[in-house]
Amino acid sequence: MDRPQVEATVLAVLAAVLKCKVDLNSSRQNTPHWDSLKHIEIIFAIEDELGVEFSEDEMSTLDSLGKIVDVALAPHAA
Amino acid sequence: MMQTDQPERTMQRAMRLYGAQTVLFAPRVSRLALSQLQLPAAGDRQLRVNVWRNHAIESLLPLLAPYCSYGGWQPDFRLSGYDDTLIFADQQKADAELLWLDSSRFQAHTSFADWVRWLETRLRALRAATVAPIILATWCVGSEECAAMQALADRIPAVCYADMGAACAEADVPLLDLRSATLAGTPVGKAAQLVLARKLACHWLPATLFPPVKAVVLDLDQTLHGGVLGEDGIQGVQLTPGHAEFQRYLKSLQQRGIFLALVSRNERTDVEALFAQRPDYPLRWEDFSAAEISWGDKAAAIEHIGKCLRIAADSMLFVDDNPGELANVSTQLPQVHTVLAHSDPNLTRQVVRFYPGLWRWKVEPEDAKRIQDLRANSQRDALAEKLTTPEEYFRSLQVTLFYRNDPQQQLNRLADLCNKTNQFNLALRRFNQAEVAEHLSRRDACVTSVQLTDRFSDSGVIAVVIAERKGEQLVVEELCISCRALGRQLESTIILLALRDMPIFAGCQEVAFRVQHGPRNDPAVDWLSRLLGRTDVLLPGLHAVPAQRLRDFCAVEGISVNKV
Repeated sequence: MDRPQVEATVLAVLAAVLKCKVDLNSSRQNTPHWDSLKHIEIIFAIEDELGVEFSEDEMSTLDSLGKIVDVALAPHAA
Repeated sequence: MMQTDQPERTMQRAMRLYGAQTVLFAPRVSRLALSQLQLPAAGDRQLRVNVWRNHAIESLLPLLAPYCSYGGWQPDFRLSGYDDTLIFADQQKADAELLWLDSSRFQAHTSFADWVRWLETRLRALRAATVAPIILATWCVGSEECAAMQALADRIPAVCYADMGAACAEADVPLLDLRSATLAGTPVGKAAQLVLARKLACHWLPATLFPPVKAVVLDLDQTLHGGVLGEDGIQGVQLTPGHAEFQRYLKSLQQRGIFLALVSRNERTDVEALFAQRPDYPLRWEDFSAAEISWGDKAAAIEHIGKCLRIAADSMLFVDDNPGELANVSTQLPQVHTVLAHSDPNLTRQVVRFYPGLWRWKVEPEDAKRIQDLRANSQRDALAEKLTTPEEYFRSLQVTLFYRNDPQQQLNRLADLCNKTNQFNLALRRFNQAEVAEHLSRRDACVTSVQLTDRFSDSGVIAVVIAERKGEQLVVEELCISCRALGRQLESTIILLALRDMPIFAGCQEVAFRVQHGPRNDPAVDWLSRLLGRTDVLLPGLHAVPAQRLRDFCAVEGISVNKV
């Protein structure tokens, strides 16, 4: 998958889980719906959709769409 | 905006649910697809579940919600704080109690045997506080530990062991994923969460809270095989491996006491010939307890099947590949459950397998007798045609009734009768196992079971009568006779002899029957009206007859009565 495809997938997950409008700049800071409960739903759904597995440390630090996409595209994320 | 009428809304709802089946029952469910599902509102059936837990369940709840909507209900989960000590603080009335326990937290500092001993004391404490059914959801390591946990659940009335490990093993997903444990607040992994959410919403909670589905009514063409019998012929219709697997699954349902019925637009002779000439079909013609093969309306056919099987519309699940046919049945018989058969029979099998109300916690020996007993009815009918008097009929049939007072060992069956019987159920108290057990233990109460056998079959325990002594009155709080024993003119003998033989009957002046009206319990209310000699409608509440009436009562001649 290239970056636009990954971004589209992450956007679809965020929109489906958070049930609100999201964009490429969405983050936990600027999205009130994105609480700790939704965060784990988002992480799990993205792992399933992209076929990646984040490390325990990454899971808690992926607090924006940009960071998720960066880590998902990183070579180790597979 | 145009208003849609009720049948139209029913049809629209049904169509959306059929559309959702591919997502809900996919072999590997997608969280994203599940989140994107927009299912119609579940209606007003809301059930409260207290959750007592020592690890998080929150991440399962959004996964569970679409399955509950599909099943037509809304859960109201009341979550406790995290509590390893299970003190059940602020326990409030609920429809079910769910213990959601991470077993590793206990076993880190105690042996399994000690944990089970301690858990039993906590379950008994909760049992004493509520009569609601308790689901114990946790996991054990190894078959011996699982058996010990099951034995613990079996020792306490209305406690069911939901084996999370077994559910995940069956679905071939790992139960635990410690990588996400800290963030999720539970060691239950992401794939396991999907499996357990579906298991909770489609099996564990419905089996605890809903009336059971008693019959699966099947279309033939494009459902049990590929192709159309009338066009492709007997050797032309295709039994794919998926269809064969689906048929084997259906056969397993039949062996668990769930009726199979066939509704097909075909010529009856063609369908009979199909089953006779296709030995590769796992299902045989005689596996169907009822069959309606005609070119007529399927709703009418299903209604007729309900009468043949003596079960209500809401006990039937209809499976058909034609959404229009299903929608038509849904609008004419909204109580009938319907699912769409897919072109992939493996998906159809999953949809049926997870249909809420079809799965059971346990299969009782009585369940297996149900189908054989129905088959025997035709033999009984043939005998009735030959003989002229009831005495001759009963004697020839060798009807025997066995009465048992306070039969502890029949607790499951008695609670089943209270909850599954709709037609001859006078008080509709719907006592669960805990409530029946409570009556079994009381000195001022008595629970009597009645077993029926004849020369054609052992119908098993077909009636339960639960009464309490209140001063000079014997109050009948629950009175149920299974539909399999109805229509044989045995009702008065079953009931009045049961009451007369109760130890608490001695010295009482009146017997008061509690009446509550339900959608289908006219047979029970009509029986009481006849006993009372009343022609008006009996109001809900207590209706008394002098105890002497019971003392003077003579059982129908020709019946053998045994007190066990």
